[in-house]
Amino acid sequence: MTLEKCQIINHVQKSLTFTAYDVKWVPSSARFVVLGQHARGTGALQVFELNNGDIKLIHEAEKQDAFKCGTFGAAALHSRQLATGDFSGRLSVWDLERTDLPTYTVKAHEQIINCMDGAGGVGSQKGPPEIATGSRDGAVKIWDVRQKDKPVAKIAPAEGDVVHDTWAVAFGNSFDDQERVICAGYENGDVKMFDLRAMSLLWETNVKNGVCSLEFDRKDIKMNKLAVATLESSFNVYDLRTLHPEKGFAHVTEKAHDTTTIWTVRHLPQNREIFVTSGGNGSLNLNKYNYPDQRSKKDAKGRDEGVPGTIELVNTAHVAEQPVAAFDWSPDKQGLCVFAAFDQAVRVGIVTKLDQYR
Amino acid sequence: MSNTALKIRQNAEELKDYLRDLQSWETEIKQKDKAAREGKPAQNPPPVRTAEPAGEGGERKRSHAGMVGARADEAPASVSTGRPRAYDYRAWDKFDVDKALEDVDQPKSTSSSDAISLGTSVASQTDQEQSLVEKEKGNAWFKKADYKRAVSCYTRSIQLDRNNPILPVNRAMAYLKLSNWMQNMSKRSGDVVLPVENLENLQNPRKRALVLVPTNKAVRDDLSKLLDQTSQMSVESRAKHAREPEETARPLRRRLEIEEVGDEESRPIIMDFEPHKPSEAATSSLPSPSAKKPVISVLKSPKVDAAKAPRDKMPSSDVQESKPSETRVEIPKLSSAPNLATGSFAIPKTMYEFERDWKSIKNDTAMLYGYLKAINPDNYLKIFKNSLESDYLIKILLVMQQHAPEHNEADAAYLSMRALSRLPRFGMTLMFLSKREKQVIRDLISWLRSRLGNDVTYAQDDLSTLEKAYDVRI
Repeated sequence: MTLEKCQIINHVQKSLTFTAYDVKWVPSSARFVVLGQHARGTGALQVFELNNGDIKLIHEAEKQDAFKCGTFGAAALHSRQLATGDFSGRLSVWDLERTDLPTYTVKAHEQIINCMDGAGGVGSQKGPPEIATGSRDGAVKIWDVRQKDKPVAKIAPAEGDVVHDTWAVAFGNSFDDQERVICAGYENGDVKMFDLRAMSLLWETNVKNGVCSLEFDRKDIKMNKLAVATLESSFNVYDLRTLHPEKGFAHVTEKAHDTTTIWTVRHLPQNREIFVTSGGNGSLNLNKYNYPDQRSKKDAKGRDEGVPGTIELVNTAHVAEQPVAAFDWSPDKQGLCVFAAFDQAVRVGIVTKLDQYR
Repeated sequence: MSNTALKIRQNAEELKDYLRDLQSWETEIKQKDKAAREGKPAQNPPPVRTAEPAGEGGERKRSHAGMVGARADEAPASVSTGRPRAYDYRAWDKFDVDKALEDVDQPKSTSSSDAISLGTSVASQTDQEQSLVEKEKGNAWFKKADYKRAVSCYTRSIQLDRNNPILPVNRAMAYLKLSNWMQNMSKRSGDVVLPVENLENLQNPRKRALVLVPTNKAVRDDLSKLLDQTSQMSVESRAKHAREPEETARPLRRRLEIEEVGDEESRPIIMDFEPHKPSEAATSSLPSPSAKKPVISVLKSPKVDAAKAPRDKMPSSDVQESKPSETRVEIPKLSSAPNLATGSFAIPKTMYEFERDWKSIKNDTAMLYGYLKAINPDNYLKIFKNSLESDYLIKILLVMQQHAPEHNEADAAYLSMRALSRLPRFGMTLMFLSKREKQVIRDLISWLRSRLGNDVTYAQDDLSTLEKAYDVRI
């Protein structure tokens, strides 16, 4: 029994009339946004609010193209505009109060935007507010809403190269106004980390399986850890403090979720050592990363080499019958989370006793 | 077992606490939410990431295979500009700041006295550009009334670009301001190679008009002031000469090299100004060239005194044949045509040129007549195309009516009228003429008729055709 440990509790459940692909808490609020696709192929955007132990739909919009993903990562606190990526490859930024027209929109990619991340907004106000989009066309583009029509950076396969879907992007290392890295995961298992300041490839590896999700444990610190979740039930956690010239970053690999896809990996905003993975079997795993005694050691040639830690599975909970495709921790309330599964329902969950890991 | 039960109870308690906590958090966060919504925007976020160079379409391409290829094609680009790209931090690491500073200092040290910085990097400029920069500096100093520095800038500028005629003039102006134009004269040797630039000529006001076409008012004023002190001539004549460009008193050059500028055949044509017989072609194209006619001569540069060329033997058609790009028409005073004022105009090639010249002399019908005569009627179509307006038409006819009889040039008038009537849209233009204006045409044609049989080339039938063309019946 794991009764002393954190409990993952399904607090509120709400059925949806569409398939949800992404859920995001609105920063500094009790609201969250659900993005998805109506059966007729149109885009669904719904804003819910916690209300005395229940959730209430407070805003709804239907758009021409289905939404695949969204982020508040680049949003300023006062406006908290949601950036979305849709099936047609369009990046739009919405004012949640007035969703008739986007405040910024650009045809970012030729094909569906699979993933996006933001940096420089609420919670990580270092560096310019930027949105990264990854698409089926294999490109990763960095956008700044202050610059129309043109990305500030583009990372794309060279002409003629085999194009692999970009399935995941994440910002990190944004600890001051200049430094920032973008990490991208591809369908063929490639993971590439680009230094946006130097505009160069920092590190790359292949995890042998399509990368469904990746996340830095924090965006706004010197990069510390990176979690990479893959198509076939394994996930890796890389220690990013020590880059070995040959071996790269040290990592630890874990299996989880009964050989199903790990759809997302999300670090707890209040404690970066704790993260959740959501699986294709409808379960949520709460994991804790334990550092080794020494995070780096000298190799035979006297070069620094990282030492991976260990991963401890804290608890697991079966929360849905369908894959849990999206998960988001509340940035403001520890233990509060929202997740959406393909069973057309959105759920607010509670994870208790997280304080014990402080 | 009881232990488990206890734990379950504890967990339930824990959850209850959490939910209670959540409740209070909810109200709290909603207030915060509201405050945030009404809050002010935070301070300006850092600027947009450095825009990429336009050459790459503002985008960076990265090969999946790695960075090597992308880096390789980037490296030469940064080498060729001599300056790494702003975002290329690796290149900046290797950037030798001291050397770059030295490079910047190098041109500065030669002009250390010049405190005016134009903010341009001077290293990679060609001499001509550099010359312009120096000129601008000179102008700046000139404006600040620091003529010495202006002179030194202009001097450097001249050394860099000897073909720019403005520079010596500017420098001369600066010298003038320095009131040491004598020095200018003495220094002029050597670096002055252009025909236009030496102020020595200014001693002779007749030359001056050619040396400088005084467009700049300040220059003109200063020049006339200067000349007041040096010249023996009266103020009136000076003013008159300053206004109109005039023939020079230079000795006649016998051979003149004409550089064709606009023509396909760029070989220089040597025009012989020796007296020679009019050619057959000339006679046919312009009938009865008479010694009394105003003469068209060809000038390449104002230096040459074409008026002194043996004008009575110069067939005007030569002008057409040689097609010089800078053809000029001189209408000198002739005893038989006392009304003809002296003037110099290029034979117009376009309607624009025609209008411009026409306007400048429109009050002097005698001059207009000379001007008109200089244009070969065969070229009317080329010049006017279909843009001859009725104003011009009637004015042309009026001028002819006034002056053709006194010069007894019925033939030329007839040819002109015929050519005009053949212009496109002529019929339309005619419709805009008033009755009185039509009367001018009538008078002209009746005069032509009266000349019939007096050594003219046209016949009665020709005039009838003309009448029909001009829609007048006599």
